[in-house]
Amino acid sequence: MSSDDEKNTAKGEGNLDGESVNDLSTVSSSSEAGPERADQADHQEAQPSAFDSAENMVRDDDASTESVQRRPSLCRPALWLAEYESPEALMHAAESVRDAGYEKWDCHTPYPVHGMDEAMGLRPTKIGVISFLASMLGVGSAVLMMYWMNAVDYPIIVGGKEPGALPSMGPIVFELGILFTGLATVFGLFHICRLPRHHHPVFYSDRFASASDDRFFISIEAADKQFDVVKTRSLLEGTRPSFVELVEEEVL
Amino acid sequence: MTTSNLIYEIGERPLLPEGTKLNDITETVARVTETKAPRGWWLLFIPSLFLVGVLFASIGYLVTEGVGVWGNNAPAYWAWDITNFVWWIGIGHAGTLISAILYLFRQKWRTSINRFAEAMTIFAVMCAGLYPALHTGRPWFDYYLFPIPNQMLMWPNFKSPLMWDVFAVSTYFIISLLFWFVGLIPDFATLRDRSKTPIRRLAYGFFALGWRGSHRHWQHYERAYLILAGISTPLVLSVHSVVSFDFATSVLPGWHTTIFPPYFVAGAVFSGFALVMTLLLICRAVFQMHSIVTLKHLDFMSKFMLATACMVGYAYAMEFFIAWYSGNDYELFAFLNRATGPYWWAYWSMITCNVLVPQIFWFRKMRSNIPVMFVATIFINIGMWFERFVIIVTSLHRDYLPSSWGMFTPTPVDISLYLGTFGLFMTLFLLFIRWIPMIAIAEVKAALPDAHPHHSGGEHEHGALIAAPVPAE
Repeated sequence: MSSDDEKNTAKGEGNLDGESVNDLSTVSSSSEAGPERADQADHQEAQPSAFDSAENMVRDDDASTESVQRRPSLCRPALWLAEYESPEALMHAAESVRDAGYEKWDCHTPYPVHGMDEAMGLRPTKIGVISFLASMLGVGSAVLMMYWMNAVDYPIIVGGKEPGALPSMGPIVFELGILFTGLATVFGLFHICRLPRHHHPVFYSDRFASASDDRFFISIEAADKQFDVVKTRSLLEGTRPSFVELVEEEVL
Repeated sequence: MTTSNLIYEIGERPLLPEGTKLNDITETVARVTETKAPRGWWLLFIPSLFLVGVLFASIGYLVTEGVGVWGNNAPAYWAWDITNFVWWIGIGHAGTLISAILYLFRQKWRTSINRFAEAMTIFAVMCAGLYPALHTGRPWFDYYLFPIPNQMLMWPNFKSPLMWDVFAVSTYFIISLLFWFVGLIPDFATLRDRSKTPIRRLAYGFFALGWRGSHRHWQHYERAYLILAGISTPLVLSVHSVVSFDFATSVLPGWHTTIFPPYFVAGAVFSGFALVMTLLLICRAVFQMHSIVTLKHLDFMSKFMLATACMVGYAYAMEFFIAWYSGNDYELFAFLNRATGPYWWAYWSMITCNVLVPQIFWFRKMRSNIPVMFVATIFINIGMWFERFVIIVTSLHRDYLPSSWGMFTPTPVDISLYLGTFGLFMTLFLLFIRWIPMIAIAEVKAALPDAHPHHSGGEHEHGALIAAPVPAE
């Protein structure tokens, strides 16, 4: 942990120091040559050098061997990743990113941090609608199933009750309603979150592993309309992160 | 960030020791799955595995020979099998109660024990499900229980409480499993991110579903979790109520009672809490979890057991009162026979273990004395087993006609099957604590005092100062 911390401060300070001002100017000149937009990435094989240089500038305080090792020939920026030490810092940073008008960005936290919905400007979740519809479907299909099986297809008269008597359906109607609701809620959650998804670019960052431990991250995706390698970076750096990193993905 | 900023309700103190960091929780919980198993684990695992062998041998013998190898016979057609079924399924109820009902009531102390209790629910329901499945006599025809087309061109009789039971128990199992798994996803991600070997990374990564702690996901996740808690709460109340309908809708003296549903639910929670506590005390000692499962948690659980013990005691008294008050001779006889008949020892064991023993929890000293709590929980579990035995066997063995009275004696297969389910439960449970985070890492983190930014004006201004937003042009 301690060695990690040293690394963290070394890199983080490096990024936040005045020396990075130079990099910024270099990067901005190169990014003018080719705007980094994900939707244009398909045409970008012609100018990979722009991205390479941008990446090298950002990481120029790193050992160059590491970046060479990790990066194959064609890469494009996937997202900016900023790391924070505390939920407070994350929340204030999230408010800045929200106010700057970004849309395709996210916070990554080891546990659900309360108040982040407002800080990120998220609309309330609609998952309850799925659950409600499913519960009604469960209740309805339970009644229809029992009525059809015990009263229509093979009428069974038990205890002098009518074959299609409703009261004795109560428990199974309830249980099937619950069963449908539970299944729909869980699979609806997976659908809304597009899970399972094992290949998200945030995982390319070595530091991201601590997002499930004790660190808080903001990622701004290159797919966002406002994304700009330089401006997005300066926005994130203004939020006092402990580390900022440009994560790249391969272009095939 | 300092504790002086925190607002506690009156008398409220932090659940975890001051200064617990997020990483401490990850380390404490994840360490268990990453280091070698302690000797205590093996000492429990090997006998448990042996008992699983006993279970399979018993099932094999039972299926080959038929249910006649059990002691069940006229008039006690239900005996240990149904006793064990109800006992096991009752054990499971504490898990859902802790994970769902206490969640709805925002009882944050549950976070240290809920994972554990939910796992117990699932394994207990698996053990419970074995008994009715085998009791059908020809388990290969168990699919008749479900509404699927079969060669007889017949459908199940949905007016039978036994059918309700099939739906209640299978729904309970599926929903508990989903609830458990949804809670586990972030913790599997934690283990995935800590993995040192490719196998661990693949295995935990597979179950983590690529979880990346995204707040856009957390938002839906928390609501989904709330909905699951919301539906599990009536579900858990319904399951043991439906189990009690198996008895209450019959016309047998001693079974035909309206108090059964709440009485069964209280008993189920009671026994479940006792078993959670038994296992928790062992794991806490073996895996050094004293900082996460504190005496305060144990104190809360003891109080729950005291409350449910009193409810169960009330139900025992009320059953007797109604038996007398109803003026029904058969009913009164059934209850007098319980207390003074040939099975008097079972009845009085039940009263001692379930009503008298838990009264020690009135005293704070006893609620903080671990050996006392451990012994008391064992007693409660024995008592709750006797409760089901008393309800089932004493009601059946002497009903209306004295000419058809009889006695029930268990056979070796009854005993070996019961021991076998213990083996199955313990094996699954030990595998769980070895490979799956036994404490909900993300939930405990969220319950830390500093976990959430505090919404006070000063705090906000301060934050705005350090995080001066950069205008995006």
